[in-house]
Amino acid sequence: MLVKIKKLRISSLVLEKLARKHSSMKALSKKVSISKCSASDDMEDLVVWKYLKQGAILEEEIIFETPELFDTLTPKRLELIDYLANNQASSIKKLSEALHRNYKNTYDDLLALETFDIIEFIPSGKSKIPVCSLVSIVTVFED
Amino acid sequence: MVVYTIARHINTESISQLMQILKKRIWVHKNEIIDSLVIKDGPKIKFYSHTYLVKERSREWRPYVKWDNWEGQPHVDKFDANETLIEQKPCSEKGLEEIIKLVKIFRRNLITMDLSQL
Repeated sequence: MLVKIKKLRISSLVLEKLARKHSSMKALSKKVSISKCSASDDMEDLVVWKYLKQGAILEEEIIFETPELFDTLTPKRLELIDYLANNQASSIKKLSEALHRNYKNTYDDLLALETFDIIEFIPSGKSKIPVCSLVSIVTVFED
Repeated sequence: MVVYTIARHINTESISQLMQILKKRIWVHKNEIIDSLVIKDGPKIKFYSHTYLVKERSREWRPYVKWDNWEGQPHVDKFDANETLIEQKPCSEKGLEEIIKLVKIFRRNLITMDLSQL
């Protein structure tokens, strides 16, 4: 059994994130040429950056070959994913209010989902904005 | 939950002509993953990188073994506990399915094996 999660990635946002992380493609390219394969993340960032600039389509998927994900996907957390996949929440507090839930429980659920990359936090000043870029969760039963 | 079909209005033939960046994270076990990056130009694979990472006592993912074809040279890298490259050997081109099989069978033992022969 496989669980496949598809994520929607907006190229411009990924490019912004790369620019924040590495300042410029030239700087990253120089860093990679020095470190070669020893800095594995940098090499991949450079490749993604280069091809996004050339107009490539970015597709992202998380695949679970293990059923442990189902322990994480409680009904309340699915409700949270559903809300974030269709709405924007400017803060965790606003999200908990929108879902009529306690702040701490909402925060704990977000942390649990972040472990599996289902939720991301975007820093915004002193707070963090919870974001869910999920498109679909599909369970596949194979031989 | 609303399930969007993003590719609904895109001709599948046109996708095969486009450049694609395919990022996949495969959870093999609770604390073991494979991060895969494949760049496709139409049907041709221009770049691949498949990294086996393990989460140990710390909360950070630590790379163990990585197969990639950086600069057009397929090879396999091994990393130590400080994420420092300790070994690099040429090997045949590897697809993600093959890597998943290897990781599922050998798991952490991969670090002690001669992967250039596999």
